[in-house]
Amino acid sequence: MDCKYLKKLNGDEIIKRLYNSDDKLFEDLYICLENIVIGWSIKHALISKEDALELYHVVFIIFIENIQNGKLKNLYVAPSTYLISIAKRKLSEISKRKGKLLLDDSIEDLKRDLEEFQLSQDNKLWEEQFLLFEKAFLKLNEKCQNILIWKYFDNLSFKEIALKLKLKSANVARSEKHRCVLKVRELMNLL
Amino acid sequence: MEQNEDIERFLEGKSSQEEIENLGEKAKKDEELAKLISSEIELKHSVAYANRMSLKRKLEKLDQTKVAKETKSFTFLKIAASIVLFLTAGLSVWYFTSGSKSDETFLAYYKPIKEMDLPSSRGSNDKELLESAYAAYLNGTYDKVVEYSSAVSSGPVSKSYANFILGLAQIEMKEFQAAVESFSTASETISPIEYDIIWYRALCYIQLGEYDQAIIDLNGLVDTKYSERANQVIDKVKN
Repeated sequence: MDCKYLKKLNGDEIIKRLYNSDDKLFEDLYICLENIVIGWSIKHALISKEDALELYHVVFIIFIENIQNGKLKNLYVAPSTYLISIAKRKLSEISKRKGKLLLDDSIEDLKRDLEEFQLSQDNKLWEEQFLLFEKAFLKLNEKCQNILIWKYFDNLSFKEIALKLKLKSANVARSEKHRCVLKVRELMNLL
Repeated sequence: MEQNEDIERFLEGKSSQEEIENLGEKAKKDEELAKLISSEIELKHSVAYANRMSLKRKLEKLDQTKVAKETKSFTFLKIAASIVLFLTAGLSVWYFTSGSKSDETFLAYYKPIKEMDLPSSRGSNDKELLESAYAAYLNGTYDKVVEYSSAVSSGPVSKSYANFILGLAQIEMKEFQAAVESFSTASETISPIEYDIIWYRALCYIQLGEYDQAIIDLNGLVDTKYSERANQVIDKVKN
């Protein structure tokens, strides 16, 4: 694995290429930065190699997500420095959560968002719901998967989705999304 | 329609706190709207979760590929090591049975050093390190010699001794070229063992078949305790 070329890439180029789903760069960054971040975690956080790998997964996923959803638009430091700063924050959260490392904060975020509207569905087993959704989501066709990701994860407007799919209008994109939501719900009921 | 746009704005993170509160107030009065908001929020987080799991699986796959490559590489190394071992064994048999002028001369004059006065060093533990290195050399634990001698850090004389002991250990390990380099480093400093260093380096040159270099070193030992042996070796090499 040649990692040297990564040093020649500037932050903007890395972000642009990862935003456009450059798989080669994704893989190279993941492999080339692994030892740096895991080594840092073991040395500074005194955690085991297994936990350090788990933490690295979380950190790398957050890095990619931040690029995907537009939170990270400029990278002024080396990717390894950015990843380590996420690792520091995550480690601090872990210590507050009595050592429990959560890959995703979906459940916590969901509760918080629902609470904002004073909505609660106490009896729902969110974790099971998420797993069920994931299974159903994977059964959707690529177009529907993309629409849901763009709408609910990348926060694109219907106008932007319409442009991506070359649809006539934002309303057509809205209808497409509605159709995909119905489909995923249907699949969830079948599982 | 307006409500849908309000929900969309919230999901896109574009709503102000006031707009969120207004939407919440409406949801309290309208059960259908509450269900719709709840459903949309749930979808948003479910998609985020699915996306994360997809990334996670991708990383796990990369980990597996990496482990597989390392295993494959390790297997290749094992095969390569077996071949090297086989060749080394064959060459060793040839080496010990064939004999040569360089081997005979080396074996006739080479003697391990059983006693050595080590220099003292102030303000450091170099003396202890040198003693440990020398003890390891006498005990035949040559990897320890490498460890201790490389840890010697203060004065040039101590370093000279450290490299000399290292060179002696390398001779025992049949690493003659490395021994020449260690002795050369050791010879950069004037010390009580400077002639010993040159003598042992000359023997290494002979073992390596580099007779010209050996003769240069041996000629430098005239009028030293090695004088007689140096002349004998020069005669043997020239003849």
